[in-house]
Amino acid sequence: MNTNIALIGASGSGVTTFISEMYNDINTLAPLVSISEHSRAISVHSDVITPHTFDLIVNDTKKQNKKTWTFTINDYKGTLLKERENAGPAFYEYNNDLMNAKIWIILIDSHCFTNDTFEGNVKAIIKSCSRNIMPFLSDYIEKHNNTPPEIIFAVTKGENVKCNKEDMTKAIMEAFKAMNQSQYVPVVLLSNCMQFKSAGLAVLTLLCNEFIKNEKKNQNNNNNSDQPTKKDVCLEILSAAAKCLIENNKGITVNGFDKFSFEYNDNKDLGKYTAIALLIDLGLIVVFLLFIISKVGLGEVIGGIVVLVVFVALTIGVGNIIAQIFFAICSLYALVQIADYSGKSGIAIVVGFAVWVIASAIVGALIDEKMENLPMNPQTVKYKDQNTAFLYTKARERK
Amino acid sequence: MSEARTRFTAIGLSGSGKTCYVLGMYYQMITGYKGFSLKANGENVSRLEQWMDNLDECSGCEKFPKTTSLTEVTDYEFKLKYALKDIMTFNWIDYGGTSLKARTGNGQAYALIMQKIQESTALYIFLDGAWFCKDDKETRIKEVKRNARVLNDYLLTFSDYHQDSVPPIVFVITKSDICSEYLDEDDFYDIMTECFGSVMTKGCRVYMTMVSLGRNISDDNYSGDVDPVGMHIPFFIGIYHQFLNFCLTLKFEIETETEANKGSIAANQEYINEKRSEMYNELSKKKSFFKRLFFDESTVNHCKSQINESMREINSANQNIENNKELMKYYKKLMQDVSSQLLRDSSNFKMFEDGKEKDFEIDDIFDL
Repeated sequence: MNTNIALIGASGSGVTTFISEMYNDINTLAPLVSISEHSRAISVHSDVITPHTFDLIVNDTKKQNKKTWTFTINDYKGTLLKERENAGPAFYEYNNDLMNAKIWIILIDSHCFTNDTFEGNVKAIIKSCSRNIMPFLSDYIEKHNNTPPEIIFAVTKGENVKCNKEDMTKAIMEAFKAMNQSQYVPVVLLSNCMQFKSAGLAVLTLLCNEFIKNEKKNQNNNNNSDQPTKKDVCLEILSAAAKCLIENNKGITVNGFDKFSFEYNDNKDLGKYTAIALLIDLGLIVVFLLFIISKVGLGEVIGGIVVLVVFVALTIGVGNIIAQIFFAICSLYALVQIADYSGKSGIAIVVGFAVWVIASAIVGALIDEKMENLPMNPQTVKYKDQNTAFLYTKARERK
Repeated sequence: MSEARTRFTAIGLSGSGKTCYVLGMYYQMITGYKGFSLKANGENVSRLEQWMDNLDECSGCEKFPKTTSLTEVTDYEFKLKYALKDIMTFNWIDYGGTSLKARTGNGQAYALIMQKIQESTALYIFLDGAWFCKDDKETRIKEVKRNARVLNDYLLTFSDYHQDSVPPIVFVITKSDICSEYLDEDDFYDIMTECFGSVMTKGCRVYMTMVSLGRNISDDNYSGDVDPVGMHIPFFIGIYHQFLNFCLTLKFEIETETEANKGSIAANQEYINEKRSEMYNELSKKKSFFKRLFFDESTVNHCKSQINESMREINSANQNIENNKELMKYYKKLMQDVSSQLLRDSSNFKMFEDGKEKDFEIDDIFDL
């Protein structure tokens, strides 16, 4: 699979430097991950467009095998962005490349972040690139059935930036507000002086997202979970490479890691399951209390407590399916108990259930609301391999 | 999905700011305004981008586009987008204001302007802000009246073309940065009645708004900051009306189609019942062994295939109804977005209906 990456930036924003930085960054990871220029395709407009095709090679030392990933980065002369049709036929090749690229890296020169005010920074971004890029982006979305490309913003010459990272991100989002992006768009800061390795990481992040997206699409088309997925492979490659980058570069400034949480975001069910667990716990407590009041039998009380403890242990410690099965057994058991009693004991149990339902509904609603606002717990993620967990923790730390 | 297409025409004398308005509108909208954005077509993009660069970097007269020549006519096609998704396409014609006075003396351009006026779904009258920069109210009105003579003729032509129902007319006072201090609230009504009385009559809806490329743009020989003011309002007004008409037409079409689909469902259902009873009658004939042995299945099979065919038609009609519902829901949501934005901006424009000043309301969209 060949992934096309378009580097978009105004003249002098560091488009060509980005490619060499990316090349060096990733090669510092050798032998785990390395990159080599596979071929340099020749464009008919070689004075303005230079396509670079790379092979990203991942050595799995444990399994003694190599995985290769090919991607192409097109280096364009920055003036094409403003010259448009006036640049002649080269523009049409440029436009065509942008429309076919799945990933866009938008380079913003740090001089845009040297103004005294936030508004000044926004205006500078609009003037230098945003208003020239928006027509291309509109075209892209139109041609791809309302789907934007994967986008990452890279601020070059980071040593000149005179504002903090949050303001920098906000200014970029404001200058590109027509995108109406509700989701987080990664922004990376690049600097030669500070020895950041962000260019390599930016490319790896985007490639990973691209693979995850493809995999999602494939899974929807062909729901066959028995087959080994490309997603695991890509996460394995990426997480290994990114881990090395982070470990070797303590001063790295990248806030694009949230993109890794693609799979982790889908954890709203967690709240529901916890709520169900608590509902059942509460219900069982009420049932068993009433049971004790009406019967006062030591054996049954101990039995009830054992069931309760096992259930809680299963809910928290094991998987959701086992908890659900156990929930069904407990419910059945409770119903059998109700059926066994008549008169005052029976009424007491029914009243107890009613109390349980009301209390549980309130508790459940509260827990669900709370769980949605809680930070995600690395323990509960779908992918439990060490590299991914490590990346996830790093992302949290950086936030 | 079908798209609404429309045409807006600007009428204004030379130097009134028609071209600067196109530039200001694009300048404000290209990076987005409350989720809405504009996209120009083809080669006009590089022209507008060049003008935007001049606007930001130059000073004095070089800051603004050169006066449009007598023979030059540019037809811009803009796409209005919400979250970069298409809402509607509209065309905006720009020409040299001298054409209005030259009339048949500039035959080709004049004929084109007249044709565009006829096709227009909203007319924009551009009033030069400099006309209002007079201390005395009477002198102000006199100055506007003097220039309004030429414009009124085109207004009448527009009304003639649309006798059944006159589309909205938007008066745009340009260069508000220099003239706003000379104007007070009452002046707008007086200007309208005194200078453009022909449209202050029953059946006409007229808007009036002020725009500028920047509050301080004229400072230090036009080297002030570019910060467009109210540029989106005039074309949002046009879009609101056009889009509302489009939605109402669409609603009518959908209702008609839904009725037809419901009719088709009922007819097919009846036909199915008829065929079923025919089939049961036929089947009841094969009670005895011998009858069963010599039973001709062709009638039953024929009934079955006809029932299946009718079922398919019912499903397709139901699917049509559902699709239309979705389509209407989509456009209704867009309509709400456009109208609520205009409602939020309503303090920045005046609306006159049947010759009286009224508050802008969006009751019309509740008919959708």
